[in-house]
Amino acid sequence: MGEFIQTTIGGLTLGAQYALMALGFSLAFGILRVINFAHGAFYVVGGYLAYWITNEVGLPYVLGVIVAVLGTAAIGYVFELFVIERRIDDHLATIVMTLGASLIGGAAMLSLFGAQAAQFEGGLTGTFRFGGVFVPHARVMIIAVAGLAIAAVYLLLYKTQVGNALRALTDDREMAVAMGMRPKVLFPMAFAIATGLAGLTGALVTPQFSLAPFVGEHVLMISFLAVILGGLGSLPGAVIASVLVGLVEAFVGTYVGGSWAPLILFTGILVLLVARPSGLLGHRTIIDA
Amino acid sequence: MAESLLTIEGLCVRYGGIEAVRSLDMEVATGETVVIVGANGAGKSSVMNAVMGMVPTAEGRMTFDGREVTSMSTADRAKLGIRISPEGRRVFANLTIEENILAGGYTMGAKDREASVAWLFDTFPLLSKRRTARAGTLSGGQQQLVAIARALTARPKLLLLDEPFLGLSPVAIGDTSAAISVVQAQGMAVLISEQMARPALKLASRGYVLRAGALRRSGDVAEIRELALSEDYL
Repeated sequence: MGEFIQTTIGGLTLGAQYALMALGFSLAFGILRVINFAHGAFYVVGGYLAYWITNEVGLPYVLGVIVAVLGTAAIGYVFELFVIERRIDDHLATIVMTLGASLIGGAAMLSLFGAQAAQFEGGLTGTFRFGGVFVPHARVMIIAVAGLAIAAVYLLLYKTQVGNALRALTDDREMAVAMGMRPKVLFPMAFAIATGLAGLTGALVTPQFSLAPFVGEHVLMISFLAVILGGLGSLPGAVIASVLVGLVEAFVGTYVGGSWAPLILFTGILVLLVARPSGLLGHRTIIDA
Repeated sequence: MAESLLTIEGLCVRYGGIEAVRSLDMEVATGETVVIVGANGAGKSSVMNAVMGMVPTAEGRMTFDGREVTSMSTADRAKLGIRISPEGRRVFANLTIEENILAGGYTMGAKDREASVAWLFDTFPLLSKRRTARAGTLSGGQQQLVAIARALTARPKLLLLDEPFLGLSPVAIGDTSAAISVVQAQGMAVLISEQMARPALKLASRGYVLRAGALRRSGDVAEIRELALSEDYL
């Protein structure tokens, strides 16, 4: 029983990580129609910003997380406004731009912090203990903060006029512009929210998992699979699929063996997509998007 | 005739090498309803989209409300008070009816927007009843009403209606005509493009007939009806 609960918490932690990443990735894709290959780099930059503030500057971890979110959002804003915006309708160009940004982000972290995995200290420590069950504080915090961030994005998108505009832009950009909405104002903002979410993820989870210049690639790949599994363009789908993927990864790791997790996960996703090409909650496939 | 709201002089619209509209002169006065009649491909939608700024003006000049708008962006024209209910309706499919109408008031302050939405739901009880329904799930006629209501939220000075009756049932044509009458009663100018000219001619006072991108004839509705009948547009 203890093992089951711990595995569930572990799976939810992984799921929270993937969900935050998938949400940001989906936002950028849905609203801007940009496949952001640099999303993993923003995760890494967020992790290093938190690491720098906490371990090198010596300020509290909470401040590190806040700086990571604001920093990655600001970089995303500037990157969208001055780089992506120039070629926003040219998909090939935006792929090259974001791939380039991904390499630059990783290389910058390599130069600044070295190739060795960073020894993140000063994150949340301590454990809840109920009978024989041990639950690290950090995991509970990750799940709680991820839940809050997802709720905040939901409220922004569905309960504010800006969110209404962002969703209108997703549905029909030309008509949204004909209602007076300005992509040059709204797109950098949407992209900043997306990259800020990646930065938040990195700052939250890298103290628990690992922090090195290129660890973002793997997280992004799993999150990208979750986005497709959930149904491209469906934000609830992306979140639900991410949690599922995290749980499968954790349970297979505990009960079958860690090395089996990727194989079972990817095979499962493949089978699901053959049966249901538009994903769990999606209306379209990656081909017509 | 009242003061001119929209003036088009020598408008040319081109797609690649194809000339969709050729040196067209046109005028819409404040509060007036004008119809553009023409067969499929006559250039009606190109004129509408050029007025909204959704396709570039290759040649010619356009003024709206005393300002030159020829090279103005679509969003700026929207801000000046032009709105379109486009061909194919193009409602925001994943937004509810209410959210579509709110989106139409994006340029307004929150208070004015809320007041406008309340007025529209009063005016269109058909929409009010289903305000939380996703627009993509509605029938063609309901979507046309949403597209018109969405274009009205900001209380534009000029409403462009591109083929509002296309593909609608007789009942929906009646609902749409009634909606357009509401717009007219508000004193807004309306420019309607229509292939099936009968319902549009009932609403308009003047019209233009386009053929192959060029002006064939302009005049009051009686003249337009006569020409359209003789050339088989109706």
